[in-house]
Amino acid sequence: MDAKGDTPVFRGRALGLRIGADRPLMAVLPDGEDESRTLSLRSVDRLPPLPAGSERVAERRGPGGELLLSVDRHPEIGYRIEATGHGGHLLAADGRSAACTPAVGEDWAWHRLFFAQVLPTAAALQGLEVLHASAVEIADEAIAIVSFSGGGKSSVAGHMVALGARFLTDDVLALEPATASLMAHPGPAFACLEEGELEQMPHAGERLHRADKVHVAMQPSSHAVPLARLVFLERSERADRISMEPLSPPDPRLLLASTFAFHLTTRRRLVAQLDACAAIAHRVACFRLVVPAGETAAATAAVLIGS
Amino acid sequence: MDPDVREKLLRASVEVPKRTVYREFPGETVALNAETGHYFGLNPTAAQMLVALEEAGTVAGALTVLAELFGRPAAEIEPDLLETCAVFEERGLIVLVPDDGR
Repeated sequence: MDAKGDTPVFRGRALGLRIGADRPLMAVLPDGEDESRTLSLRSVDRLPPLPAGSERVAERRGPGGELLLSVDRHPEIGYRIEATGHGGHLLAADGRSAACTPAVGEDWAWHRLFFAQVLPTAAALQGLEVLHASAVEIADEAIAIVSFSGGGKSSVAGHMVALGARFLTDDVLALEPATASLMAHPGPAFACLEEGELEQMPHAGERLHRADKVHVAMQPSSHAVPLARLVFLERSERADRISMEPLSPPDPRLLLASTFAFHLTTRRRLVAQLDACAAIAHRVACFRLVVPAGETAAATAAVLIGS
Repeated sequence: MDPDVREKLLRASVEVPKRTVYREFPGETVALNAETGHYFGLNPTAAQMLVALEEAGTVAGALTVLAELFGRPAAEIEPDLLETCAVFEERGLIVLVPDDGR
């Protein structure tokens, strides 16, 4: 941990990328040789402005119209990703390096922006498909749960872990097309869970941070596993019991809409997304899981574990 | 359709530009215009038309291929093919190049 200059003093991995950084990071897996894709992070005092020719490709605003998150893109330089109170990153167009402020790993707020936006964007720029999904591992296969934000996928996955499944990732799933399957990579070693759900998980890990949800340490699988099932979780006011039906065939629109990286619209990225979705449709068992509005995440997890 | 327009369309060359990418899903094909970022679902018949247009390189050539493929008279298929060509062109999935008569 004493190297200087361009040599990383810290190495780890998450979402299919080997990460090298000039300062330590929290909540990543130990370095390994499995991943061929790399992301190099270095701390800078301030980010350079993007020159003319850049465009805003995504932003999120608060209830009062204040800017919370912005993503600006320059075709050659890359993506400038900033969030109020969480710092900023200038991610190269090839997704292989980033300059970061404040310093890499400075605090948990830094990690939040890095894991929520920068790392998934880097993975997608390097050819991985990133879905808005949580996933667990059972018997060396991945089960992924897709839903809109607030739909309950993290809680259901958390309860599946409590019932004996292995945690794989929370909120973002990186998929890599392989010869006979799609490989699901482990994500960062934490999940964002509701306090009320955590109280039902007596063996939950260390609480890392508390914001709108509790960020709790998890121990992901150490390696990528084939994606066996993709479950689209729906909450329904009309349903009177939990039901799961195969989507045969799955609607391509449903698959395409599950992506995490809507702001990446380069040709290479869009073609990779189409390829990955076609591969899912042909090779992965897809299901529609309908859960009554009042039903608990624990009960939903039990149905998924038993299916 | 105006007979002159029909004749021009049939004689036109077809190019499927680099921006157009299509992949087969179970039950349908999805075409992407990578410039606009728009996806289009194609039923099996429309997908076969796109493939035939790309491979034949002309509308008339695609018509011959499709008539053989479907085992139907070319005259029966022609209106659907010409209409589909117009839709594909409007969505930027193909480029129709008029035959200038040379």
